[in-house]
Amino acid sequence: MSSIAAVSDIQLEKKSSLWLDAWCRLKKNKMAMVSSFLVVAFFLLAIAVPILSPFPIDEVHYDSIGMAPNTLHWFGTDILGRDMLARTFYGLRISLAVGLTATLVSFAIGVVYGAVAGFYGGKVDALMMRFVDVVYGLPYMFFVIIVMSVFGNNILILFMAIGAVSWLTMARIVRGQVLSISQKEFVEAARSCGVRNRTIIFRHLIPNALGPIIVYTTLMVPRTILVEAFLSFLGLGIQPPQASLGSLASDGASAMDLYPWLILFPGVVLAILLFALNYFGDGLRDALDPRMKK
Amino acid sequence: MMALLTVNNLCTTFSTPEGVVRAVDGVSFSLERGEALGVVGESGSGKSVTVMSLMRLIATPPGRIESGEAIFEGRDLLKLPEANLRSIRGDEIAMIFQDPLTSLNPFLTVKRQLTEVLETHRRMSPKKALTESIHMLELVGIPSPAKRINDYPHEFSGGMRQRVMIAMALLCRPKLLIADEPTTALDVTIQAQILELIADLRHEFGTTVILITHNLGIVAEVCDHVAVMYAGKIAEYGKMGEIFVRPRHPYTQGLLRSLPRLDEKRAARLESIVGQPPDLTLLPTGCAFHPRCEVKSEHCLREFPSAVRFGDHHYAHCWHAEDRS
Amino acid sequence: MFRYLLRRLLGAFFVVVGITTFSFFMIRIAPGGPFDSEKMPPPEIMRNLEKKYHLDEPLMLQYARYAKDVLVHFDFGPSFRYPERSVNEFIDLGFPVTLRLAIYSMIIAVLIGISSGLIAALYQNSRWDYSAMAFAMLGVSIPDFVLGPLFQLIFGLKLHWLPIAGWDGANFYVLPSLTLGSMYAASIARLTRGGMLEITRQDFIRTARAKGLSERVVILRHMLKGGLLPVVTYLGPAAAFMMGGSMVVEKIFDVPGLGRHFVNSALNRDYTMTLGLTIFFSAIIVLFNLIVDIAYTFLDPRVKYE
Repeated sequence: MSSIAAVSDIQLEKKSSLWLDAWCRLKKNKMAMVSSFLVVAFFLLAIAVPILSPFPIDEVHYDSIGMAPNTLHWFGTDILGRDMLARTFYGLRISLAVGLTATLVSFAIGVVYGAVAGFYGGKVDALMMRFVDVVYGLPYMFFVIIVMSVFGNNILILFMAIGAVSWLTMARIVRGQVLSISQKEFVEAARSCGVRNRTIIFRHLIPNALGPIIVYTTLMVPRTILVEAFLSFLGLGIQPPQASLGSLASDGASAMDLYPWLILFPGVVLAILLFALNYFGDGLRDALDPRMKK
Repeated sequence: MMALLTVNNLCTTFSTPEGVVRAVDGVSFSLERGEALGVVGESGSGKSVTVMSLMRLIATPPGRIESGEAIFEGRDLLKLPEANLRSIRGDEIAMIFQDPLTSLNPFLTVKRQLTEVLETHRRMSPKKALTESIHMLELVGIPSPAKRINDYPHEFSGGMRQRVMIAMALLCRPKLLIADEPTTALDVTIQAQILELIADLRHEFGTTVILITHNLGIVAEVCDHVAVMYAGKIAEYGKMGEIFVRPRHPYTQGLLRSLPRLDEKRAARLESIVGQPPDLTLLPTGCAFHPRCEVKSEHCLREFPSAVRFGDHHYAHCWHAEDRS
Repeated sequence: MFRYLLRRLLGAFFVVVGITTFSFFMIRIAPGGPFDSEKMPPPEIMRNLEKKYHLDEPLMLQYARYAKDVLVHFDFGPSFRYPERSVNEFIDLGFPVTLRLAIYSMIIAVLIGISSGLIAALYQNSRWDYSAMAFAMLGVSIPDFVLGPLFQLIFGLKLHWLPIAGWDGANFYVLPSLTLGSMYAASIARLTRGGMLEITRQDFIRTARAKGLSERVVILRHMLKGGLLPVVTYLGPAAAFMMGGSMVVEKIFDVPGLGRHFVNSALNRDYTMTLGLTIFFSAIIVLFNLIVDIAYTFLDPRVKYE
């Protein structure tokens, strides 16, 4: 056993310098740093604004219907006189929650699926990956919509449905990583010492496949947020009285000619969020995999 | 007779995260018509960068040709306008690269990759270019060339692929052929065939050749002159025979001792040069070879040796070249 | 080649069978029947309805009947919400519209995407590169349903250049196609840039330069084909996403396409319609993916059809 410990120590040492290098590269990437700052800021605002705002998100004021942005209501008010600033950041909160949860679901499915396929290899791998190939080509939005229409508009179902259709790429990445790593000596070493398969998967393979997985997970968050917003815009996602950036944009789109700020603010916040998350994910990829750059 | 190519004080640098590296550091040599020069050295000795600089095929950045001149038939290749240089590349000077699999375009047929050379430099009609290309394939020993020319590179074996590369290089009957480790990626038996082919074609066309390799044995088969490079500089230069019989630089001597010899009666132990090839970012002072040298002295640590001449065509950069023979 | 085609077609057919089966049971295992949420019709009407939709038969028999109708006769049966009209009628009316929208969007995406990706790659790290990529990132990040209303606001309501809703001629097509195409243009630009930069590093490009070819020939002949392969691979999934995106764009611009019908069917719980359109769209996508795959084998000679 001690030899294995020694081997994984060496592995760890290499890793820590890899992470350090990546961090140095990331720090130099200005856009990525600005983006990560924006993402953190949005997180904090999403938590704080609905709490701190003097206007509750669902308080109807008939005396302040459809007001343009002003000093009292920075983002204006909607057709029921609700404060758009509070509603936008409340919507952001829901969007972030859906994005993170769905990402987590797809992360779990994808990692397990990919690790199993890559580890067992051979026929199992071929069959599992063929399935992924086939499903990859399908218009998954339709299946999400079927699920939403059949099981009703439940936010938990929404998490699951989005997560369940976005794990495919993750499974591919994990499988590729596992396949390439499982050829390496330290896995042979562990195997020859009679370590159990499950232990090898969780202690050796997954930690080593981490780089690309982190990058892809980061890039998956904006994607799932987009899917949620998309569904909510169509009326198939978040239902009133709850609101997400997508459903706010949907409400705004119908009254756009009179109250353009109703779609402008949720739309711009969503776009900035997605932009920042995408840029950060890209920066992370460049930092963790310098070969991809240039 | 005027030399075909004269290179003077060529310097090429690369900027890396660890700092600027002098990959080629003041290389000078000259090449007579019909000569075959072997450039020998370990990886990182600057031999490939030297010829890439001559053709100006160095990626800029990170590479940069800092100084020097390369006079090819009266024209300085390093200062020629890009368009003029382009008409020399592939026509008067052609190259063969190390790995024929990656050096041929996998998306285009061999026909397309051969005929385009003639169409560019000779303004041939596609039909005439095709006939000419098939003829050249036949010359380099591709069986049923009229049929194979329509295949893609991956449909050829490694040795055949290198033959295609050679055919491509010879299409315009270049005055100078540069072969950059043409056999490194091939099987040993195929290596011999390819070398023989290069030697034959050289005599047939009277082509001047620069052959880059890390293997002195390969040089012996094809070349009449040898330049041994170490850490971006020429360590020793001379006629093939002289270098093999009376090497003057300890590095050359080491290289020769590491060659297997058929004439040894007993199975003598093969020697290797101690130590590692130098790290170009942290070059030793003075003569870069001194950490691995058996005969180094105080002087070697301080100053790079000037050339010591032995006759007209043989010199070595070593403070102790004269004591050793 | 012929055997390969046949095998791929057969494979595609089985995928469609799989989708049909999956979607059918997905809808049937839903908690509560189709009429649950509405007020119950009188029992005799209920029985008639059940007979019309064969809901009184065992589930497996219903499935067999449906699969046969769909896969053999291309008949998706009547709509659940509008019993006098068939799902096929909706497809006949709506699909040409959606297809036209998708084709225009794809053309826009490919033209804008490839040209800006090429510019970015050929002038790498220049101002052109940075602005093209920032624009592409913006395109990826701005959702259709934000971009669409923005276009309506600017080009329709403020500038009065283009109509903001409807589908009555060329000038009606512009904004929806631009909206739907922009996100894919952005992705294609990024893929083009990446693919071209990857190719630039290849040994065979050095060979091409060493042969004395002009820069134009090096780019057009030696780089383009390999550099655009990632874009070709992307077209399959892009088409699938585009079918989804058309739902949003059709809603924003009030385009009478099939995507709208699909969304409405999901909102109205028009089960047969949702089911039929899902199968139909999936079949189209599977077919398109097949075409892309076959095109790929022609573009990359290293890929053998096996």
